[in-house]
Amino acid sequence: MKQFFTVFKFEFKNFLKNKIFVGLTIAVALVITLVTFFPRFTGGKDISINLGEETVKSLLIINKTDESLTDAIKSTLADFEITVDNQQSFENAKESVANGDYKIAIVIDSPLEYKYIVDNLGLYDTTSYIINEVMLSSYKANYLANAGLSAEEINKFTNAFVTGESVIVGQDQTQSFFHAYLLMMVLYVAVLVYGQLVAQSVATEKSSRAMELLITSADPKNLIFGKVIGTGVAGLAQIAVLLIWGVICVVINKDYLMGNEVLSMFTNISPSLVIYTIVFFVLGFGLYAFLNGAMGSMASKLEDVGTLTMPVMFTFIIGFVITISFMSADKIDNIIIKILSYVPFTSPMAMFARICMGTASHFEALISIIILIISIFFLGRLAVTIYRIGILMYGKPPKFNEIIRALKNNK
Amino acid sequence: MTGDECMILTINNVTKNFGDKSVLKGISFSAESGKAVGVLGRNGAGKTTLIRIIMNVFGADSGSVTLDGNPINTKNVRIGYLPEERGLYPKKKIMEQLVYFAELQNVDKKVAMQNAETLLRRLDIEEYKNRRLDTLSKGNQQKVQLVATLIANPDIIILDEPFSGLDPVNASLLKDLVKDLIRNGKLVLFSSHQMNYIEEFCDEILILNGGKIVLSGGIKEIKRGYARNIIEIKTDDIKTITDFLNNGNFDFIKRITCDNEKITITLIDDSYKDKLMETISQFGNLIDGFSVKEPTLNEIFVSFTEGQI
Repeated sequence: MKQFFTVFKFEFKNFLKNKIFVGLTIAVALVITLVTFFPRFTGGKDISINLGEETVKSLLIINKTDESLTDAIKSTLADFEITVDNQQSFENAKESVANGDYKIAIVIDSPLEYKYIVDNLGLYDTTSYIINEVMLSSYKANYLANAGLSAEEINKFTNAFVTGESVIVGQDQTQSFFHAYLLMMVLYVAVLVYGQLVAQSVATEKSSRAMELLITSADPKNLIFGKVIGTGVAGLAQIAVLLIWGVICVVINKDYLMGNEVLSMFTNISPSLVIYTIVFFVLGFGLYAFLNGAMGSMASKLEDVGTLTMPVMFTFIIGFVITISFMSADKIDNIIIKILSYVPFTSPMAMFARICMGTASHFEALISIIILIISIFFLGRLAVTIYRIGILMYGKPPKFNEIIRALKNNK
Repeated sequence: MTGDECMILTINNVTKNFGDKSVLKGISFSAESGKAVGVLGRNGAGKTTLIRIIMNVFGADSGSVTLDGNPINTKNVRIGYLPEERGLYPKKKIMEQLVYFAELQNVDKKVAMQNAETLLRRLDIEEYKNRRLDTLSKGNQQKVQLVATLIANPDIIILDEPFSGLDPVNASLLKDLVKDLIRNGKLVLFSSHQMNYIEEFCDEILILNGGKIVLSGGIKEIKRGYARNIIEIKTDDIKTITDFLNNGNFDFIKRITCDNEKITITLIDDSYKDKLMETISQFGNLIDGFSVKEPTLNEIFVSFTEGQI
């Protein structure tokens, strides 16, 4: 046990001394600082991309129908510089937009038909939507006027609106989706990055032949457990430091950040969800780190690590992609996800997503966690065996059947 | 276990197979404290496998490794190992990794630091203790490797090619240290292809070939076991003596050869040494040396391992 702690301490300290690790942590902390302090210096405005909406836009209207429609558009798009030239042709309008004479040109062919000419259609362009609305209500008003309704009645009719309020008894899936997505991204990145680090670290010890001394000084079990757990704790510590720093930044700037929707989504994460996040991070990381450590032990050179860990990484990535796709398609209750949420290789993602989206009970979560723990126990033992064999193998990385044969011979 | 006790390490009929390949086929020998045993063998003869079995990295398929009659337990006895493939962390500070390796062997951190200081000073590299290993020259890295081997104050020391790549000054520094270790009662297994070092340190050797011990015993006895009928005469006047012997047609001489400094005479039997001496006694003033030519360890090694592994 003492030996395990020696390895653990050594591996953990390696991270604290690793310039890239520390640098990355500081960089992310700086980004958090920048984002949270930004509103303080801009008088409450958060960082949003300037879409160029402020500049005055020129608009050409070619109306081949009722003049009243032109007036309605003019009054709605008050911030536009509007020119009306009903004699122009569609081709001319296209040309003048292409030349840059006008930003937008509208050619109204009939009360319900128009062409919207624009040079580059922006992602956030809402003008055509506004014109749709204006034309539709104008059409309705005309229709009702023709039917004999008074102006007052028409006004009352067209301006009617519905007030609705959603009362959420279960989970707010829009927020849950955000939570699940965010936390899964954290889990995904952490497992990939730290898992890979474990494999690389083992391979480095092998390629530098430090392993020659390690295996003769320590029990391989302690070496791999110390490394996996040391790396995992370093990862957790990094996330914790960033989280605490984030909370500090938010608390300092809370007056400026009120009403920020993205932020409120963070603060709305329930304590039980935080616990599940930690549990699934620890277990998910543990499972994959053991496998990666075992794979890393079979590499003689650092270049081989990628090839050897690929099957492990692919399993994880596929699990992630499937879960995210079902989540995005709002089919988190699908039987496939339900099955995956009990399979140890995918449960850290699938069960976690189900918990976030409120479709799994605590009992189901518990069963999944127990299966995961038992699997880690057996995979950990398998990893130690592979590691024990792998660290003595030099030369080109062994093929899958060679690993199986070596495992059989070992028993 | 303390270093004062005399320990006997016994390897008894150890075999090891890797898959279909039989690497060790019944190895038996013993070694005791205060002595160095030279483990010789060509590349791939099974030396590293044998060392790993002794260090319990993996077990033997059959046979046993015992220390004073009990199965060796690496938890109770410390073994210092200098691997042929040097292995340390190139990017780590020297003191830091030395202490780590000591702590893995259950040595207290403070003691480890003291041991490291002492050994680094002894090998003239104390000034580098806070430097990264890869900033040191090859010779100095080698010395750090030896410090890593000895830092836990092991009772059994296994040295695999400890002098390769060292300049003569560093080699003699290391040699003195190894001699001290033997004098201080450590049990040393010494593997090298440089036979002069083996002869310098080891009283006993074993030659491993094809997974078997093809020769073992004391170096002196082994050499004495060879025919002693070849005599070397050192002289400045080779011609006079050679002519005399050739013209004399002595029936106890089989063959006479010579080079620039010596005459080599093969007798029909080693019992004729006195007769030869008597015959050439008249040239006594010309003769610088009269000795039996013993085979060198190198020649013995080659004769036992040539042809096949």
